[in-house]
Amino acid sequence: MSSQLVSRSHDLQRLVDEGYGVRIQGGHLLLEHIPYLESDGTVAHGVLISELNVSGDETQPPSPHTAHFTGIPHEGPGREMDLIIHSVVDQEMVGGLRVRTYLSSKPPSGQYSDYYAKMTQYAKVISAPARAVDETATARTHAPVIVDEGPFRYIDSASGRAGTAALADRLAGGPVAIIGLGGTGSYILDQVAKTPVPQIHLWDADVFHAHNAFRAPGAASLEQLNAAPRKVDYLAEIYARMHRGLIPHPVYVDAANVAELTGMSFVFIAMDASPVKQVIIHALQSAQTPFIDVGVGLAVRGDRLAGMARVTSGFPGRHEHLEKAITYVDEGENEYDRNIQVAELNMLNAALAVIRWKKYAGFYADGVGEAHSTYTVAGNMLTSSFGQS
Amino acid sequence: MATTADEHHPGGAPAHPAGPGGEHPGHEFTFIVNGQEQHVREPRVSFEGVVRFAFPQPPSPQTVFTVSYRDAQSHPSQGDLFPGEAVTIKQQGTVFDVFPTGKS
Repeated sequence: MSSQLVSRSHDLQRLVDEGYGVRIQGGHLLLEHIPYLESDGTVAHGVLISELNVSGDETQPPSPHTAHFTGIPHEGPGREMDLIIHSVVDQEMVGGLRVRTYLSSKPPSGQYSDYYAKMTQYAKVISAPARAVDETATARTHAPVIVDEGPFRYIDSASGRAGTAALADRLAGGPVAIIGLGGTGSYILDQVAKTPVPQIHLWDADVFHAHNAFRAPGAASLEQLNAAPRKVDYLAEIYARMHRGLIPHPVYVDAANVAELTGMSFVFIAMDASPVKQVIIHALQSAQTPFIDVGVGLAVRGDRLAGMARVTSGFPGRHEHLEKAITYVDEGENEYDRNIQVAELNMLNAALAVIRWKKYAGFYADGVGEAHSTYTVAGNMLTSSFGQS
Repeated sequence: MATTADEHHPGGAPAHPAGPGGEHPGHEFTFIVNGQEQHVREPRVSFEGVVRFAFPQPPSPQTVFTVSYRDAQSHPSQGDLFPGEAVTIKQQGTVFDVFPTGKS
């Protein structure tokens, strides 16, 4: 966990021990309340921002040696601190902070040994002129450590390392609901739990049985199955190891409680066809809540299985196709239905739905804008319909 | 009579030296629905027609089936087919898949 990152990293702990206002946010290390001289010679305070290279819950050596600052530090009135200012910028960096300078102070060895060395070097250089004006000016305020890693229990160093944190932030717009935690819904959760959505609401009243274990991510133990947990509780416990926002609702969504979906920024409908699905979709249409409905169909063909996976989107203002694409008839009531499902088709159906959601959210490039897509197993064919690019 | 067909035709249509499909109204058009060979005399095949070939006794009149096709004469030659729509098939080799996709 991030709180352990400080205690297990000697450099961060030393910054805290010496009274620096340490903040960890969005995969970055921030030192708050650094005194500096404004152009008019008055003392102001800014935030020093560095990348944060971690492995598990321990820091690694900093790289690169550069940093950002929310102010433009001066040597004296009208004299910018040219020694360390690489460039004056104006960009949003992390946590809504706007940085004004990109700083470069390369140590003789070429690389700082740790974050204590890096951050104190910058803080010392930036604040020296301010301290000459006001000797009480200090960065060492003994402010409490703030670790704000959003919904994750440990730092999303994958996005940080890849430089895609700003893209991932586009997924953080609001709470997401998954209705139905069967094969497809559980794999949707597997992907969504790795995004910074603030909350993930899980709706399903079913118990997690052995046959579910063969269509869900991970591997349930016999002991877990014997405990007969609800699907939402079984899955929430697993994904809460990583994501703080899991909210299990061990009930079915129906006309009586569908209003509880109000306020969701996106809804995945991964429940079997039924008249209730129509109630849910009508409610989401009325509320202008974007959603994706998924479904697979498999049948024996000769001595093999054939089938399809379908992803149908209902985005605000784009609902005309829904009645042609989604069935509300419970196939469990007819002779054709043998409820054949296989994990990888549930997983593919889930992945296609999550990719579509991420396109809608602006994470992925989208050249088609489809509202309906199918994968046909025998033909190995992926289609796109009702596009709007 | 429907027979089990091999779906693995070589890419594109089988050779038909007399010309592309659709020019011989007296000829039968052979296509495949859910692995079963079917025959029609006209090359336009509708969503409703394909569903009837796949499910002669539909499980429920309200079921909205999911239909995809490939290797059709129409452009695009592959895609999804929806209620009220039709595609023009080749003389041989057009393939349809029809499923209720309501499982999760």
